[in-house]
Amino acid sequence: MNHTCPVCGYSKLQEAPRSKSGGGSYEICPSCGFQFGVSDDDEGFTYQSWRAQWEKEGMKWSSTTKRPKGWDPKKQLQKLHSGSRHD
Amino acid sequence: MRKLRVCLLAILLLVAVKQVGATTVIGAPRIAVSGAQATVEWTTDVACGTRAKVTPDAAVAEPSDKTPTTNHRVTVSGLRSGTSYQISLGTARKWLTTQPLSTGGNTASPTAASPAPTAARAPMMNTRPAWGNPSSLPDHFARHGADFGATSPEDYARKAAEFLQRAKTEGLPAKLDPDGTLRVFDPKSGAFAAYNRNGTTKTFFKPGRPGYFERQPGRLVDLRHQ
Repeated sequence: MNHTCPVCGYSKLQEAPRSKSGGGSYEICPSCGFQFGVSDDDEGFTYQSWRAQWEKEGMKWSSTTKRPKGWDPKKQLQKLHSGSRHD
Repeated sequence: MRKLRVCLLAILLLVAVKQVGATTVIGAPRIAVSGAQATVEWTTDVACGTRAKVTPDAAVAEPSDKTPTTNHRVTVSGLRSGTSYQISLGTARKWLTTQPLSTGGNTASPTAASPAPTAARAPMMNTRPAWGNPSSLPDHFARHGADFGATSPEDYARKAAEFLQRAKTEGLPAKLDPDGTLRVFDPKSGAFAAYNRNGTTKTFFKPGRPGYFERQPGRLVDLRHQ
C-alpha cells in the first residue's frame, strides 16, 4: 500500500510517515528528500519549512534513483493542498 | 473462595495468552552456511521454545533441550550445494519469521528426491547486510554513509547489520516499538539504527541532537539477555 508524503504530496511512499506509536518511518521521500523521524525529530524541520525550502530550490527530484516518467511536482503539490492538511 | 480461584485462573490464562501473542524476533537471525550445514541463531523478546523448518524439504528441527529461551540456535544439515531454501523460525507453537537460506555453488531448486535436511543445536555467528527497502539504500547511503566512513551502499548496509550484532553482544541501549521496529543506540559513538521486525535495516545514522534516542518510542529491551 502506498502512502502520500505530507510534505510534497508524492503518492508512492512505501510506509506511513508515522507509526501508531508516533515513531518515524525513517523513509526518505524520493521526491522532496524529507526523512520521517530524522528531518523533523533530529534536524528540527517542520513539514512546512521543508516544503518551503524545497519549493524555493525549484522542487527538484531528490532521490539518487531515477525520476519516474511523468513526475510532476507542481501537480502533486496542488493535489496535497487541495486535500486535507495536517501540518 | 471458588469465585476467587476462577478469577485467578482467568488472570493467569490472560497473561499466558498475552505472552505467547507478543513473541517477536529481535533483529536479524544470523545464518552461517558451511558446506551442507547451516547454523541459525536468533533472539526473541520473551523466552519461548525453539523450532526451525526448512522448505521445500519441510524438515522440522526442535532441539532436545526444550527449555524456553530468548537466545535460540539450531543447526540444519543435509543441505544440497547451490540450492535456495527458506527457513522458518519460531516457538514451539508458532512460526515467527521466514528467511532465505542459500548454500554455495550454482543455485538450483531442490528436487523432491533430495534427502530432507536435519537439525540440532550448535554454535554459530554471521552477518548479512540486509536492507529493508533495497531501492532506498542509495539515498540512505548518500545521506548518512559519511557518518560511518562507508565506501559504498553495500558497505554502509553491512556496517548497519554489524551494528546490530555488536548491540546484541555488548547490550547497547535498545527500544522495541509495538509495530516491531527495533531502535538501537550507541552512546559512545552516537550511532543510531532502526531495524524492521525481520531484522532488516530501516536506517543508520548519527543524530545531531542530544537525547534523540531517549525521545524515540518503544519499551527498553536488553538485547544481550532477552
